[in-house]
This record gives sequence, C-alpha cells and structure tokens, in this order.
Amino acid sequence: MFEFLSRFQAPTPRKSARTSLAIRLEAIGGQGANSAGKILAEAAVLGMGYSGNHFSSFGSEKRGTPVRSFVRLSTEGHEIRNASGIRHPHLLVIFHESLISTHPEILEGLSEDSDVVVNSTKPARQLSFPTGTKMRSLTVIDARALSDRHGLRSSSLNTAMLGACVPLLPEIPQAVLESHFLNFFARLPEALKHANQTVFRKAAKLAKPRLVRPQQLSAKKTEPLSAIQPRLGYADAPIGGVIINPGNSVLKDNSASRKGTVPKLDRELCFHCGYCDMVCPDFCFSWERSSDGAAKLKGIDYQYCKGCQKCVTACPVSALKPVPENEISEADRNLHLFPEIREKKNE
Amino acid sequence: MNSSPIAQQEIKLLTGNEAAAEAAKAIDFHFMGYYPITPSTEIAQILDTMKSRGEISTVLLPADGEHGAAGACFGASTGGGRVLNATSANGLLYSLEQLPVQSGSRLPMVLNLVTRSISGPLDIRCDHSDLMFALQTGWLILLAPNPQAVYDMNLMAIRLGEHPEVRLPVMVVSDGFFTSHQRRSVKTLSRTEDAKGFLGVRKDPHTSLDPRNPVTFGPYMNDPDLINNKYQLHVAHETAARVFDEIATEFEQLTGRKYRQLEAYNCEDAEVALFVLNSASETAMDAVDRLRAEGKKVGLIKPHLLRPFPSTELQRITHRIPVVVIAERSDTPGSSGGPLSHEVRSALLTDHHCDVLALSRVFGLGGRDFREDDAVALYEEGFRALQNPSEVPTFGFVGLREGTRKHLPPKVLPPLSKSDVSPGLVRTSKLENGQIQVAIADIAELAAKPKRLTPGHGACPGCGIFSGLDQFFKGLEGDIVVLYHTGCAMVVTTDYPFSSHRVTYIHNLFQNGAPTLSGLVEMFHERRRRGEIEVGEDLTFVMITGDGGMDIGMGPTIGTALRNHRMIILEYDNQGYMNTGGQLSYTTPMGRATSTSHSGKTFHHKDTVAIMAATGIPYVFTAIEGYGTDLIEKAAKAQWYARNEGLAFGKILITCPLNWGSEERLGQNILQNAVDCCFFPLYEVEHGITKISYDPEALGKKNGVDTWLKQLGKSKHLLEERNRPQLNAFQAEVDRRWARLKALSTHPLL
Repeated sequence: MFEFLSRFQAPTPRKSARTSLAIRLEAIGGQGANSAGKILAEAAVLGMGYSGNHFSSFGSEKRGTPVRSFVRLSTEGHEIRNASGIRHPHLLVIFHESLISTHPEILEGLSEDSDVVVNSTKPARQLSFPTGTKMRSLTVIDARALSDRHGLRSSSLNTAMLGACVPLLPEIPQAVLESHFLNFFARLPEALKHANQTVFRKAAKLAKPRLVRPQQLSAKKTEPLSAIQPRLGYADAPIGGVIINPGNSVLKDNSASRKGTVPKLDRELCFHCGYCDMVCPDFCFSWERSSDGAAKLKGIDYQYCKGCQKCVTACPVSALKPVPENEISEADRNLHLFPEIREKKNE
Repeated sequence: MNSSPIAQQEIKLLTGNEAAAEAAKAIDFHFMGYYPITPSTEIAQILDTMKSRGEISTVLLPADGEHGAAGACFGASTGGGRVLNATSANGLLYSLEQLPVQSGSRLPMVLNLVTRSISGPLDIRCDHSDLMFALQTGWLILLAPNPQAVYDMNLMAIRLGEHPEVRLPVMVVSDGFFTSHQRRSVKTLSRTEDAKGFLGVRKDPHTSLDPRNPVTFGPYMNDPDLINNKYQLHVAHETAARVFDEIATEFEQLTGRKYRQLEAYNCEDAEVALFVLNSASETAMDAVDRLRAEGKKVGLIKPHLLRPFPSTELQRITHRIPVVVIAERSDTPGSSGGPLSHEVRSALLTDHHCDVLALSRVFGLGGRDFREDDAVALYEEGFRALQNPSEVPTFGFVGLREGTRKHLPPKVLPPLSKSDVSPGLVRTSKLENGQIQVAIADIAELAAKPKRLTPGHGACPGCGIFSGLDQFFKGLEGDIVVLYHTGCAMVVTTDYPFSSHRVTYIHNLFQNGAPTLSGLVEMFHERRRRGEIEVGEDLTFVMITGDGGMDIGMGPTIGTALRNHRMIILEYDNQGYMNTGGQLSYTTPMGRATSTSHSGKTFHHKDTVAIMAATGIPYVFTAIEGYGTDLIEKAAKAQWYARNEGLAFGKILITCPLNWGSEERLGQNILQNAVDCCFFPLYEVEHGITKISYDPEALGKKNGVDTWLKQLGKSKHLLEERNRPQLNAFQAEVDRRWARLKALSTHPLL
C-alpha cells in the first residue's frame, strides 16, 4: 500500500526545463491509448516543432488485451532516432487501474522523476502499488465517470486521460494539445466533438497531481518486477515450443478487460437451465450437484468474466442482471472455478 | 543533406506503413495484389481508405492467399503498368515460389516487405528471418530504417527497377512494428508534378497487352540457355549498384535527402564498428553518440542496399577498422554465424589489405526490443575482442534467458478423465432406415461437464468463437485431438507459455491445416493397426478454422475432403480476417465495410458449404450457437460420421462484436436474425441429400436482411437510401440461395 503525506501537496516545479521527454501509456485495447499517443505526438511535433516519435505495442488485434503506447520527444530539435520502447518514462499514464495488479510490468522503470496518472474510481490513497514503486507525483482521475457524464459511452478513455495529462506537460500548452485533439476528432458529429472537448477541459481542470513522499517509498524493500521477464528460458523451456501444462490459462486474470459492469446472479430466481453457460465466451459459470444429483448453477468466477453480458441477454428469468462491479459481494467475488490454483499461485 | 532541395515538401507525422501508402499514392500504381498479414496489411488498408475517398485509382485486388497475390502481381506486371504488393513473414514464404518467376522474367514491380518473424512457433513481431529468404530471389532489396526512408525508397524503387539496364522487381524492407507502426516526421512531396517528374513513365520492352507485337513470357528453357539467362540477371544486379547511386544523387537534388549504399556513421577512426540493419541501426546511432561522448572510438554501418550486396563500399568503409560486430535479427542455424555475417566476412576477405575481426551476434528475434544499452553492450564486446581476440567467441546469441526453473508455470489442471469426456450425455445410433439418431441429456448437465477449453483465454469480450466452439464440443463424446488454423481462436488460446486447451492441440498455418490433420489421422490408424498405441475407444480428430482459412486453405481442404479422411472440419465464420484487423474475406457479405472495403464489399459471400458438399463427403452442416440442441446434435452426428465413414464438415456463423460493430450482449440474438432472414440457413447435407433443419419461412419468421444488418455497425449503412441498389442486390442473392436450398431439400435425390 502506498503512503502519502498526511496533507497532499502539489508537486514543486521542476528545477530545470526538460529537453527530452518520454511518455508511456498503458491500457487495454479499445481504450484509446494508441490514439492518445498519436495526438500527443502530433501536438508536440506538428504543433510545437519538437522532434519526436510515437508507436504502440500490441499483443494482437484484440479488444481487451494490453496495449502500450510510447511517445519520445526532444524539445531542442535533437533528432529522435531511438526506435525501441520506453523503459524509463517521465510520464506514465495508466488507463485502467486494475492493470497495476494484473500486469505489474506496466510500472517498469518508474523513478523519483516520474509522474503517474491513473484512471480509477478510488481516491489516490486507496490505490495500491507493489512495494518499492517509485514516482514523483500521482494523479488520479475517474475517466470513465467523467466520460459517461458527458455522454461519451464508447470504451475509449483517451479524451479524459489526455486532459488529465495537461498539468504534467508544461512543454505542450493546453491549447495546442486541444487543437490537435479536435483535429483528430474532426470527422465526428458536432455534438460528440463538443462533448469530447468538454471532457478534455474538465479533466485538465480536475487533474490534481499530488506529490508522493519519496523517503517513505525508498525506505521500503524493492521487489523486482519479475513479470517483465519471460518465465521460461532456453534451459528449461520444452523444445519445439510445446506447452505441457494443459489448460493453464486458468492462471490468467481477465478482469482488466471489463468496463465496470458485470453480471450478478440472483439465486432466488435461477432455475438452472444452463442457457448462460451455453453463450458465455469466457467459461465463467461454476456448477455443482444438488442433493438430488441435479446440476445446479453455483455462481460466476469473476476472474475470467469480461463483462460482455451475453448471459444477461440469455437468461429467460432475469436471474442475471448487469451491475457495477462494486456491487458484487465478497463471497461471490471469492467463488472460484478452480480453487486449487490459488494455492499454486502463491507457492 | 545540405543541398537545398528543389521540391516543395510538407512535414507529416507518419508510420512506416502510412509512409509506404503515401508513396504509393504519389506513384499512382495501376495495380496492387495483396493478402492480409500483420504487420504489412495496413498498407493495403490505407490505400483502400484513399480509394474510398477518390484520392487514388489503383486497382486493389484482395487475393486468396499470398501465393495468389504474387501471381496476380506477376500477371499484372506483364501488362506493363506499375504494380505493388506488401507482405510479411509467412506471407513472403508462401509467395516465395513466385518471386524468382518475377525477377527471372525481368518484370519490375515493388513489394513492401514489412519484416516479421517466420513461423513456427508463430510470432507476429519483427525480426529478419523472412528477409533472409528473400536474398536468393533475384530481387533488388532496399532497406528503409525509418518511415522517411520507407517513403523515399518506394519512390526510388520505381526508378531503380524500371531502369532499362536493370529491369528487376524491388523489395523495400522496413521493420515490422518498430518502423511500420512508429510515427516519425516524414517529408512528403507536396506537388504531384515533382513526383511525376522524378518517377517518369514506365516503359516496357514487351508487354502482354500488345496484340500486334505478340511475345512469349516464360518459355521452357533448359541448358545450355539457362546459365546465360542467369548471367544476364547477375549483370543487372551489378548494374543496379551503379544505377542506385545515380538515382540517389537525383533524389538528393529533388528532396535534399541523400542515400548511400551503406551509410557509415563515425566510421573514419573507429576501432569497433557495428553492422546492423534497419530500425536497430537508428537506435544504435544514439549509442554511438553516447560512447563517442565518452571518448570511445565507435562507428556504425547502416546498409540501405542489400541486393546487390554493397561489397566494395563495405570494404572501403571497414578498411581500417579492426573489429566489426555484425548484429542480426536472424540466424541461419548450423552455419556458425548470422546469415549476413557470411556475406560481410566474405566481402572483407576479398579485400586483401583488410585484417578485420568480424564478430557475429544474433539479437532481437521475434520482436525482442533492442535498446540503446543493448547496442552499447555489443560495442563493449567488440572492445573486449580488440584486446583479447581469443577470449571472445566469434558467434553468439545476445539477450538470452537461461531460465531458473523457478518460474515454470505450475501444472495446474489434471488431464480430463475418461468419465469427464465420456459422460454418456450424448448418444448416437444408426437407425434401421439409415438415419443417425442423437439423444441428448439436459442442457444443464452438459453445462456442468468439464470443458475441453479453459477460461483465461484472451479473446475480445463477447467473442462468438468460444461459445460456438464449446457448444460444438458439448456434442462430442470421448477423447479428441484438435488442430487449429492460424486465426483468432488460435492466437488467444495459446499465448505462450499458457494454453487454454485441456486436450491435445496442434497449430498449423491456415493454408494447410486439413492436410496436416489428415496425416495425423492416418498415422493414428496405422499405429493402432501395428499395435503401437492403445486407445480404448477411439480418438476424434477435429480441425478448427476461421473463414479465412477456408480462403487461403480452400484447395488443400478440398483435397483432404476428396480423400475422405475420418475427421471433422469445423469452420467458425466471423466473415473476415479478424485476427489481422478486420479485412474482408470471401465470406464477408456484399456491402459490409471492412478495413479493406471501406466503401463496402463489392462481391457476394462465398458459399463454402456448397463447395464442401460438392466434394461428396458424407456429412455437411450449418449451425449457430443457440439455446437449443441443434448445434450439439450436429456435432454428435459429425462425430459419428468421422468415426464410421469419413470427413464431416460444419460451418458455424459466429459474431465478432469488434469488427461487426455489434453489441457484445446481443451475440446470440444477432445470429438468430441472420438465420431468420435466411442469410445463414440451418441445414444438413447427408450423403448428398439436403435437409433444412429450421425453416423460418414456414414458421412465418422470415425477415428481410435489413433486420439483421441494422444490428451491425459495419453494415447498417446499407439501409440508407443511397445504398438501396447494393441492399437489393444482397437481398436478391440471399433469396436466390434460399429458394435454391428449398428446391434441393424437396427433391429426393438432392
């Protein structure tokens, strides 16, 4: 758990202006990290005359899988040639809070010089980071709520997240960023464009970077973020690329693919027809035997649910309802299809 | 770089793929033949967008595979116009046979090779293992280390290839993702007349479109003639080096940008030089600056020309450098060096005054990042060799991980037991009248049975593949072996070192799954006959493919069906190449907007079921995921036929919320509408006899296709008044096929 000063402080201005700037955006496919990176780079290069590059790293062309986007800038016109990913970001933008726990490698390379922006419904002090995480400042914004409030219902959060970066990017004036941002949305209907502009401006205003007390953080033991490394090497990987652990994807956590809504089972209404199981793409439904030996639906394993709501549509008696994630009880949250893996995971 | 250019240029922030498309727009190619493969597909996609906006007139031909694309390009280039292709990795390898045909026929064209690791295991990221196969094709090869160079090299490739003393096809090579997806400042020519003036007009000594001057392309030529023909090719390559310099000078006058065969960066007094291709060479320049600031004498050699190999230039540059480190994103196993290290060493060897120590290092395979620190480490190795040559191996891999055995993914799930897979919930039997009867237990009982696929896979939310596959697998009793074609279902279930398969799984590239599985089926029966394996009941072999695999793999699938092996082929049809970003496939319905048909697909969806039925296999079916047991019953029947008679083929329509632009939660409902409008009728063809499983018309439920299309973001534009003709054409085709199907189902022999 992170500890903050008892009263949040605004970060002190940097001692000297930065001449180079490395920005890394971490998100889930469909949330707009790639386009946010593109907008940032266009504003910096075409708007400010900096040199720079931008690229994204995709797992595959899927929605719901992690995407990283990199922007490297030089304010002095020093030609940007480095084509590799950014290891040490000055600014790290996390589009989905749950990535911190499901994909801790996104925190790679943070230092006391890094500013972090996180999309979360929680207040800053409730966010937890692995011990040893370092940063200069933390900005928390509820991008989803802000977007929803202004009618931006798509999964994309780039508008709000870009807005939240404004206070941390003195190198790119808000007006310049906004004009390139509007340029990107040029083909949208007028009302939607206006809504995006409103969200962008509100996010810029709401974003309050808070200084993170460095001594407390550095006093803690640093754990290596081993998830960055592949798990197998040439000495222990079976030859031929064979995977000898059938079905071991059950060790994965798909919760970051969700957009905040999950199905909730009403056990009073359920009559165990199995339609939900027939249409679930993610095999989340857990079954048990009742005393008479019949198959009974036990519940949902939320580790795998991506929130598509197909089961809600399928349920003939409305025993499944879409609810915000925080309405799921602790007991339901702890229902696991494969309870045995919990222990193995902690070995 | 200092001369003032004569052309007016504008600065854009472009990726490598965007830069290739911008150049293609300036070139105004007559024709492009292509097939989707990551990471090069974007080039065709961007050109399709430009075409939909009326910015280009290039004919864009979505081929049935890279082999077909290369063939289409060859044919087009005999006709005398300008021709473009773009591919990567196995796309290049699948077209490989055609490439020497192109160069041997001395027909210029341009192919953008966006490099990617070749399979297998399948890896979509960058290395140069594909490029190394291109070295023997007789093509000229230009290397573009950044998006600006991609733009520039594409323009230069036209001039170089079409030069009367050269007349060769040209590959422009950029790094997948590192360059293809990286935005950098790119200066493009503002005025079309500048591009046109530089490019000139293509002049062919012969074309296939001149009936008054008939010529024979591609004769049968044995000895003693072939060696002379190949000598002509050799001379053309030798000439190309000189012509490259001439064109580069002209290009510099036009744009202010100078390209050399090899760019030497700080090599004059260097003690250690790094020879490295493309994007990594850009990163290495930062390392050179850093080490030079520390007083270390390091240099960098960046080739822009790979075919012909610039040996003379290389000798000139390296003449006084004691150590050259040749770092490559590829290996040539068993040859004690990276593929290009042998060419570099042989060039150095022929320079008798040169006493260079040449180290070969393999790095960055499969897209492993190459950072400034990695370049520094290679220089440090060079300096160690300079001091103690005997202590530094001449060849090695860098960036390896040995593995600790501590992070092995624990074996988490036991194999499915006999009772797990054969609970007796689905029973099939042959009735006296010859019909296969299926009895199925309660759906909840089937739901409670352990699944052959496990959760944790990485499909998009609401993906229709897995509910469809699971319903199909629910109908199978006993042990199965699955083979998946390349595609979404494959990629998201086998993300190394994880697997979502609890049964044995095999992948093969999606033109070749059916023959692969047929080989295994025959091995199973032969080994069982010899008594080498004991499998209590039987194994059922199931191939899973997308609709894309039924395009590129149609021929081998038909061949497998004609041989009637005892196996099942199940096609999940999501109506496009969704794994590569939603390009059109031949099953995409007319009018659908895809990333390669922005204005709507112009031809009708393929009737794969009719094609497969025509092979005479015993059982063919269509189905969708549903709340009933239709798909489960058909799966059981398919298994009966695969066990007893031969090949069964099934096609299930599944939703792709991402690329259909549909609501995730409505998946099953959308499929039902596709069935109810008779776009996707549910039927079986059993021993050649057609039987409709569900007749929406008889039930009074038959709707217009609009009821289905309006649910799809990528099709609903068809409901606009201006698109009425396209909608009517689609409706008429759906009605025609439905009427034909009904006629088949009523005739006792059909």
